[in-house]
Amino acid sequence: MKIKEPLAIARHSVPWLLASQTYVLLQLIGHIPYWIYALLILAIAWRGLTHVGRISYPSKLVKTAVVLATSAAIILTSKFDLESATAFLVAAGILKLLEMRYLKDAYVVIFLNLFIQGIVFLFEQSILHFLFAVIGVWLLLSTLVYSHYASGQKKRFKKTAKMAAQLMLLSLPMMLVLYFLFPRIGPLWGLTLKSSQALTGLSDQMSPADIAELSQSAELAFRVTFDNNQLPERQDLYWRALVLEHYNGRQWSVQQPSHVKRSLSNLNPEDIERSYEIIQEATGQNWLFSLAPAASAEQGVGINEQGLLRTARPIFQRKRYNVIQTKAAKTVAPLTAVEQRMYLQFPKDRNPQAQALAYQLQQESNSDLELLDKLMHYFYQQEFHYTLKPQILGREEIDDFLFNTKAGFCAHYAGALTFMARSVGIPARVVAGYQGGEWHQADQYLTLRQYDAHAWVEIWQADAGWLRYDPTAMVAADRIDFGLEQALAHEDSFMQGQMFSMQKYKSIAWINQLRITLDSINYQWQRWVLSYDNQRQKGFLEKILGFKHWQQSLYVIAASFIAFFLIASFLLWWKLRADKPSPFMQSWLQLQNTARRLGVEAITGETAGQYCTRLAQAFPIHGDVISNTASQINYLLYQPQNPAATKANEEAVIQSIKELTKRLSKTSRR
Amino acid sequence: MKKKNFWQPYYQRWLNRRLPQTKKIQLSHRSVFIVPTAAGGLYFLLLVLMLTTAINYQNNLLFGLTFWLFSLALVAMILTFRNLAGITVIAGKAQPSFVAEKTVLPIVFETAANRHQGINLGFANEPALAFDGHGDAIQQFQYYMADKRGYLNVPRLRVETRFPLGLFTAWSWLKLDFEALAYPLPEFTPFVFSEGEGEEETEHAQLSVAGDQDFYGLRAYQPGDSMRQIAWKQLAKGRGLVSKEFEQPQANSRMFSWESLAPLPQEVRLSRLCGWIIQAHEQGWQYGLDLPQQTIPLDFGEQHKQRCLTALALYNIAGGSNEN
Repeated sequence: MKIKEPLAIARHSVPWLLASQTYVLLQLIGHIPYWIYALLILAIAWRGLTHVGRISYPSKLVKTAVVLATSAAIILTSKFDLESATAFLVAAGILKLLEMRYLKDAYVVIFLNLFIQGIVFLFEQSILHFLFAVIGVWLLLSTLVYSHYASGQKKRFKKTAKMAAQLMLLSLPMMLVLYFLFPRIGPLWGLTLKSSQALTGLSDQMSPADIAELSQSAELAFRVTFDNNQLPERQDLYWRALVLEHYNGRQWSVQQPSHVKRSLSNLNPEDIERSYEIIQEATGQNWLFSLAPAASAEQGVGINEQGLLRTARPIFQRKRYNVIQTKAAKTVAPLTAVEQRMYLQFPKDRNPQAQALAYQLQQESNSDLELLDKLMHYFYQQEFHYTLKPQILGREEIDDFLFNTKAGFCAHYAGALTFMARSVGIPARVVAGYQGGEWHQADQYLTLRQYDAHAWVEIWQADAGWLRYDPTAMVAADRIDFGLEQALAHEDSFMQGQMFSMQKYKSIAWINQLRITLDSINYQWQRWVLSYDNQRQKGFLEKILGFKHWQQSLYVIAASFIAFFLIASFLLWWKLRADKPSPFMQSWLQLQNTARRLGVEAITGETAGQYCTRLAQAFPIHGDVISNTASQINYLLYQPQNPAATKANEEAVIQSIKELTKRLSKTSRR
Repeated sequence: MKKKNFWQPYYQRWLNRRLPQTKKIQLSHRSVFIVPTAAGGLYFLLLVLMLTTAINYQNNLLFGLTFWLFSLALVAMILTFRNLAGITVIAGKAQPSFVAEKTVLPIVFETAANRHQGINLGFANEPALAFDGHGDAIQQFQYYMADKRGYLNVPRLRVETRFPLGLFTAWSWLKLDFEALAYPLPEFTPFVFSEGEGEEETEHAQLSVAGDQDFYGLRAYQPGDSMRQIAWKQLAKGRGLVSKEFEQPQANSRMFSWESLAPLPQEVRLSRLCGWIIQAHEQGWQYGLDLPQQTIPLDFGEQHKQRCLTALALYNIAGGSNEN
């Protein structure tokens, strides 16, 4: 038994293999360690030199050493996160280049890169990266096709690339069917490797510096569309995410793990103020954004006792969900003892001046509401400044801020007001979230970016429930009405240090237009592609296709498979049919077949006349018929006539050939 | 060859029924088989992995890519099949050869325009030769060494393609009829002549032929003239191929007889007869062949040699062809 040497790699495909691998890996820049690119350059150089015959493949010793060194490097820097796993995969693909010798190695390299191309989507999902990926798949496929041409013949990669593109287009319909109909089931297991790259956004501990830092980021937080396409008043756009109830003298933080219950699902239509849909970027947290008071019928979304929406799992992928803003409740449940204690907590020994001010104003007021008006008015009266660059505050932060620097931003104001309210026995809390947003008139949606992060105050009133107070509005009304950029116009600190942010050049008309257009494309991309999940699929199947059960989509998938194969078979049959001989040739071949069974073999290169002569010799009884048919055939083939006559003549000839065939086969039976 | 297993005979019988020996065949769904390759298996494993990742990360783009690659495999399957289907394979006319001598089998592939690429052709477990089709008739040559005299019984040839993606392999086992003969393996032994009187006489092959001396003149070379007849000096002078003609063409005229090799087994006798005919032809003798069922009278020339060798090749073979 001979041992078959594996098929060698097609020589002409090697440069393309190296190129397409490089292309795929370049998309991971910033997500895998940079030394991996050095490894890539090394591997390509070695394989390239091997290709041109300058050096040979690395020896076993070299290979082992490189594999060990690379594994060690990855393991030592590894953090058991998505990045490390990806780096491992990428390194394996690179090292495979060193021993890429046979066609099967080329398969491994290409398949591995297809997988890596897919993994890129775990890091990047913008429309641009999608296009990059399509090009990547195209390159890899072209290379795959290219390595299947016979060696030593003229090759054109361009033609191959065209073929790969055709392949991709041909498979598009089936892909779309599967994409829309394949059941979107939940994660198979809970533990998946997470990216350890920091996500920008709010955190459950707020010190003023945190919000100042967020204000420097133009990163997208979430987008909102309102079902009636009406933008509410800007003063009502307080997107709640967190309640920070605990103050330790330095920072406000979330203390209690909140108790999440199912949100109301069947609301009376008259209780609904408005409903809207949010597409939220990954936060790595399980909180959602909503306008108070909120409810949501979304699967996997609950509500806690602070009226905040929560998900069961942290959000590591962009999430799309519907929220309902209800009308204010008519009856208010009183605070429990635990809540009372929680919302009145403050370090008693801190900020004596602030406590004194609150106490003094309380003495001058007849009611809590009047006191709060006075406190709010205080910020306005005392000429506080709104700034992102506050001076560093002393140990008694709130005192220092209220009576000394008198400059700060939302977190300072909200913290100070809450502290003072609590100090005189009014339950209060700091709420963190986003405020305002940029309205895109053309596409009717609202964009909230990290610099829209905001903090405000909620005050408890036994008869009215929680009331919203925003002390920032007293200092910088522009912040609420027009956004951060306007509020900071006087000190030019908006997006300071972000030289290349398009946000910075809003004043230049065409850049702004471009920015808005790009944002709108991205929005549609997120809405229709990225956030097509279980719920969206259900809606799509029910509303657009009229499916009642999800099983129906399985039938449709099965039907599409059958349709696919039927169409393909039909096309193949059609193509082969076109190669079938003409009716005349068919009858002629039939005659030859019959004659062959009787022992008269056709000889290659013999004319119809010669064949018939031999046939007549073999079957003298049919001599007349045969010679008659032969002259008919000769007349048809060699006498030019008008087409109509030829047509009629051909029919006649076919008839006589068939007649002759019949006679011959009868001979055989005798 | 593959190790013979239990199913091998059944498989061969089925294959013989489905794809009988033929001179010309158009590959179609009847003759083309298709299965995933090992690479195809790896590819589907990759898709499963990608789908699992997509589900776990709830990543729509990854879902999309997975489904796209899956659909690509389906399309590739059809294209791989199409790459082979529609080709017409025609067995060319092979030259007769001797047993254990390499002969060239011409095979013509009629292809439709640019539809057939990366096609491999070869016997089982032998390195295959690969070629691309460009919408014309391509002639390929396959070497083959006959191991038995008679009509060539060329084993099934594997026509195979993995184009375009290598995920599937489509193939056909073709039993082509080249209508060529394999002459017996010649064995060169001293002549044993049997003269008309039934008296045996042994004589060593003589290099000198009586007729050589009686030089008559020159004439144009004709196929079949012995090497010894060629006027090499004339050729060297650039006057082309001319043959020397003798007054008495062949003084040596002999009958080679089956019976003269009496106790030897059939194949050995045929081999020796074959060797004698070649030598006699080389030396420009007149010779004849006396076989039990057939007698070929004295004659000379290329055609005569072929006739004698054919008679040897087909000796005692039923129907003139040996089916396995």
